[in-house]
Amino acid sequence: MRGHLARSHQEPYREFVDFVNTYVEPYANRWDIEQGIPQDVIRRCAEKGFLGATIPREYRGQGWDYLTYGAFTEAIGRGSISLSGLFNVHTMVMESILKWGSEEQKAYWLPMLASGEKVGALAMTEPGAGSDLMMMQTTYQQQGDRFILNGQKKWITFGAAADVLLVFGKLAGEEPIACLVPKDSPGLTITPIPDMLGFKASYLATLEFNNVEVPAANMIGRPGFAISYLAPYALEFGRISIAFASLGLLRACIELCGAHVMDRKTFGTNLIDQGMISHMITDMGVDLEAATLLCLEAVKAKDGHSPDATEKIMVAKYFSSRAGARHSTNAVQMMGALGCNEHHSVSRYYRDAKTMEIVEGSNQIHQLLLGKGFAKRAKRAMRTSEKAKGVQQRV
Amino acid sequence: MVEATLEQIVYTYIAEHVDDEFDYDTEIFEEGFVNSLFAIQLMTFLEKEFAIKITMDDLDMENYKSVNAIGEFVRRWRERNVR
Repeated sequence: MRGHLARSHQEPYREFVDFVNTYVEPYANRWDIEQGIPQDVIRRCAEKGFLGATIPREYRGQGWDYLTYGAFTEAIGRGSISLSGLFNVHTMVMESILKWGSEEQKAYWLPMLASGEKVGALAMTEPGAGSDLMMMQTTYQQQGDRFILNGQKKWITFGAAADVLLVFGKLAGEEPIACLVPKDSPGLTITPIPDMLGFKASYLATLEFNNVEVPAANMIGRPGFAISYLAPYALEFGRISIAFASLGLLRACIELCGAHVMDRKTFGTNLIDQGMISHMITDMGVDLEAATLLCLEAVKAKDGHSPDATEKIMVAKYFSSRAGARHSTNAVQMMGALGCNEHHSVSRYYRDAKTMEIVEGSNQIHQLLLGKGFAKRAKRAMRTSEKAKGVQQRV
Repeated sequence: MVEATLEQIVYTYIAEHVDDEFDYDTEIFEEGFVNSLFAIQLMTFLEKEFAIKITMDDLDMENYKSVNAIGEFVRRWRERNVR
């Protein structure tokens, strides 16, 4: 990553890497085993300003561009995918408020979130509504200047650690809306979900809303737009996070495996001199390079406010998360029994990498959307070329 | 050279992304030409191309339902923000 960054971004990246080497990586396996990240780690991240990320300084954020956010997420992902989940969901909530909130909402919520005084999480998924959000059953009923919220959310990343949740539901069972709901709202029950395959320390939770009163002033955006505008807008940031965190995971795989195969000997030679091992390391390195370029291209488009950013971010998420899953499998293979032990990081990479293929739009949803987009574009290109040929022949 | 109208620019952009025949009055969401991802892409395109910023106040399906509606919306936005 460092070699691809301009000097202006190398210094902050070095700081992120130093932070991860000191406060994250040495403890990440322990966090997974204990299924939680200590509060003092989250507090330290807040003190460093990391929870302010891309939010403008006027709201106590860091005002980072998306390239800096990506570089930060790569560094965190190298140390702990579980911790990267915090910045992912927190940033999605803040970016949603920044884009779709009123001036009053921005002034009220953003400083406390960007400073890390409060942690935010996004509550979209339900037991019966994952990829297809229109299936969600959570409802808001308006009563004067407040809503009554009922329903259930599941698999909510940092749901058991967040102070405020952006909860998606349908107003009167019809119009999708999203409201900010404080965790201590009466009628809200938060139950941690233990024993996940990956994201083990990401405080996943089930949220049950039983006649929870939410001030109407907490609604972000307008009724009818939560699924068509708020959710995809937020998920775009989620995909940037997953793409770059996967990149960090890939780097972790090659760093650990590279060192191992250079030193470990079998049958009188180093592992790297065995053709099969060399093949796996080569593919790992090539995919890391390709994924890095795709991720950088995606945030470049996002920083340039290019409409192409949406597709480029999906491409980066799809490629990086798939590469992470493939190469973490090979990493376990190369490390042998070591890679099968939960005290060794490679087993964590393997479990987290699988989860990265599922979150923020499963890779199958990416295939549906990207595949159709590519095919349409190809068809248009063919049609244009045939038209041009026809004109040429007539001439 | 004749300068493209606002509607022509919007039409060309949408036509590059949908495969069906449509005109300036076709209701692009109603007809299912636009999914939520393209809605975000279109929003970003409008913001960049016409130097506008879409906020919660602009969340009204009437603004985006067709090429003509988008043209009207962009003009109204510019007028509102020039004053």
